[in-house]
Amino acid sequence: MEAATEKKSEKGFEIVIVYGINKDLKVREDETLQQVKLRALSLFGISPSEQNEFILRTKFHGNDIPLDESKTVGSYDIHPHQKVTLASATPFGSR
Amino acid sequence: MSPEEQAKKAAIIEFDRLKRVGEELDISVDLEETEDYVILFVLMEDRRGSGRRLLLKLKCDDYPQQAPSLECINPEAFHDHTLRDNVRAEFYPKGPNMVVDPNRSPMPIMCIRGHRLYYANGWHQPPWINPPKEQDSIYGFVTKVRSAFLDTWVQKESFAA
Repeated sequence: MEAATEKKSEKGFEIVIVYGINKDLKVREDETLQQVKLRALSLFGISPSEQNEFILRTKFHGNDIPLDESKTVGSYDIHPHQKVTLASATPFGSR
Repeated sequence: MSPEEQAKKAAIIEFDRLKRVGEELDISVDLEETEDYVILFVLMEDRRGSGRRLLLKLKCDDYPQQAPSLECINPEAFHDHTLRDNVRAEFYPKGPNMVVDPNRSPMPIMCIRGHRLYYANGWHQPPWINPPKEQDSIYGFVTKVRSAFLDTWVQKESFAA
């Protein structure tokens, strides 16, 4: 537990971004999920101009939820090596 | 390589991407190969208690020259292949992003970019492009549908199957 806490210190820790394949991404607790998303897009060669077309999702206790991008990594109980899915956003309302 | 073989290869790449992350996305995928094209089957299941399921049938003829055609079929068909032509309105979600328009299709239409009917007859702009943007690829389309499934259709109990 102590080791896990240390991994989540200011040096940051690695999570796994899932997008067709899995890639590690180092994050910090004080980063917003929007910042994380931008770096995740870059990891997969997707332009930042496309950011509004993607969301981040993860599972907590088996419950898959979209992550609020205005919140920080630290505000969610995201742990080292947690899998975070980069998903295309659904354009609700477009007909 | 013939155009048919190229289309098959492109669709199989998307199938492999989905298969690799099936566990993370709580989806199961299957592939049926004909002489000229492949059909992907993607089964989504809400594992948070509702048990709702959605089975997408994506016919990938000429992919990515054209978007795959989409049908929602009996979820039992994922395992029972004799049911794979079993398309009925009750297997489609209801609610946001779903449209019923008999002039366009006898089945409900999913208003989410990435499948053929969405673009038919200039219904939506911009039109389908080849190669598609990443978020409109089959992989991207499935993740969009999955978000709608988990966050909206299941939540609103607007799902019949």
